[in-house]
Amino acid sequence: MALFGGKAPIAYGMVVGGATEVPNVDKMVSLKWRLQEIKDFIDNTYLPTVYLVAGTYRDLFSVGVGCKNLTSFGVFPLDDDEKNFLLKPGSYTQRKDLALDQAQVKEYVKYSYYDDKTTRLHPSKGATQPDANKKTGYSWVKAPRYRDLPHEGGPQARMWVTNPVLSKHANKFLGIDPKKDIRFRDLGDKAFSILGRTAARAEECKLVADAMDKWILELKPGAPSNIKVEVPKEAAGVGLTEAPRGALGHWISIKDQKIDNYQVVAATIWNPPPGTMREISVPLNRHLWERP
Amino acid sequence: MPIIRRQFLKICAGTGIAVGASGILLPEIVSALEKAAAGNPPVIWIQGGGCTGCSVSLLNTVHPNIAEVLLKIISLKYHPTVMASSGEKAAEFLYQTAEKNAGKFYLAVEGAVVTGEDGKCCTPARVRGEEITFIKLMADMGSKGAAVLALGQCGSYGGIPAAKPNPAECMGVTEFFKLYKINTPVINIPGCPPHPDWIVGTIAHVLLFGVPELDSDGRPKIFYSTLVHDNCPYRSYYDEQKFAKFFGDEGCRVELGCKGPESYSDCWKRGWNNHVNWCVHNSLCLGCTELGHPTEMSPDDGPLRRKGSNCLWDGSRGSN
Repeated sequence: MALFGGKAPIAYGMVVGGATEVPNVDKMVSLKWRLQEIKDFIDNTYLPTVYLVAGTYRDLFSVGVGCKNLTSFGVFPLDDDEKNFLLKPGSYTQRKDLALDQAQVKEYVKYSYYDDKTTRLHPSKGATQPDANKKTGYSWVKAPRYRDLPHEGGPQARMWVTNPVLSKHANKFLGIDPKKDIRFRDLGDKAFSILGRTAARAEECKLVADAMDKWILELKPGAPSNIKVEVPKEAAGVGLTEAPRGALGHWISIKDQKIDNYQVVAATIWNPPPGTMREISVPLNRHLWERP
Repeated sequence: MPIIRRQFLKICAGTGIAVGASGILLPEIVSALEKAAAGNPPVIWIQGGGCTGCSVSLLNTVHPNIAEVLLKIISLKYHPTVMASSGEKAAEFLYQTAEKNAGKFYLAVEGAVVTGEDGKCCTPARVRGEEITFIKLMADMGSKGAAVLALGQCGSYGGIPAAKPNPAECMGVTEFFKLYKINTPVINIPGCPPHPDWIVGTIAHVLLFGVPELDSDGRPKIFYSTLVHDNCPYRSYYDEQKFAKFFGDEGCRVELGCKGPESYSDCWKRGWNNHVNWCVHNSLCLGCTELGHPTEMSPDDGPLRRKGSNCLWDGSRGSN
């Protein structure tokens, strides 16, 4: 991150229109070598450790089932039209695979310190009107819903939606012939558990690191890395991506070349949004409820 | 090896044996610091309105093992992110530690003090059913500590949480203390985040030799006394008046919005993440160590506190 972003944490280097850094061969090679070390760690330490621990604590494959609704906004497009993604957009809602429709994202505020009139709004129309003394309120976090249901985000959601082939460590763990490809959904109900999520994170790490290794060589040294952008007089836009913790969306509207409304649905709030303990459909509440 | 202050300052300034990243933490120096710090009062680390970036930055201190630094040198007794315990027990321990070391401990404050809605915007703990707001925590801890280390741009000056229009009424520690008439000395370690060396170096100085020499903005002079612009690798372009109009162009980046000419730090020689890079090499300086960042230094893509042709900024802060 520091290589192309100046420093970490809190890297700079991304601006409207692209990136500030023009790639050069030195940096590409440096990144390739560093990535090699990371890949070594993932293949030879991280993944084996996860499955070793999984073998010892098998009961954790049935704890922390969650709401079984998963959503991913998709990340790492593999073409310019954003038709194919390394980690695909989509949702798994009430046991059905559905295409992603950002119009179905809404924010609820019943248990948040915001005016009740602003509940169930789409973020493009979203409002943030604080009401610190609201009786039912106990959090400053809004509760995002997809298709009016709580959804879980993060590595497990992305892996379930994408359903990629897993590493050979997984074959070994499950006692399946290494020549056979197994996919994330082959874990079945095991995927919806503490260890399922941990395995998803580790397997996703490998998937991304292996892809990065190829992407580095697709960079064109010296080629421009950003384009000039004029701020439009009036416009509305949406940016959807995946942060490590889950689906991340920004909605903006511009009026007179100035920001008129800006709403963020942060990745972190899909899993622990406010709700009563009775509302165990909320992912994190439910996990705490089910803890051994 | 007894360590004397002059030696220590030399190491911090990066003119000693090894420059930068882990220079402060060479094994000999660590063991010397360990001996000198043994029995010294603890550091209590609390978080208000912030992003935990300062903590992450501190954890990037790779050599030696960060646990050694935290426990042996800094004798960190309380840190909400790093420690395992949480909830009511942790909050009670926090108050007990402060009570036991009253007048002696050092308080590290990460994040801004959130004062909006009588402090209800930020409630880090709940003890016996009572919400402890960050205002209360700061008032209780701040008045008992020997000195406060205001970490990052937020702890020092309010930072991003205090950016205009500042709906949660955030402010830096100094401003808060003025308001609440608390006289505990404050050392600012601004930056977004601060370099781990700045944090470890300042804490080590405080524990070993007392409060370091501060500049007019309350920052230790050891780390914040050189102008980025004077030491910029692109400085000669500025002198020739050759300005980059676009990222990737050759030239000084001041017209792209670089705040190097009004920012004091030693990033230019220290480097970040084990010398991998620093902001100016990658893009430009955003002035994150300066009072007024980000509001008075925005937008990031506008020129320096003066109105430019391609700039949305309205030039409300003076002119030159």
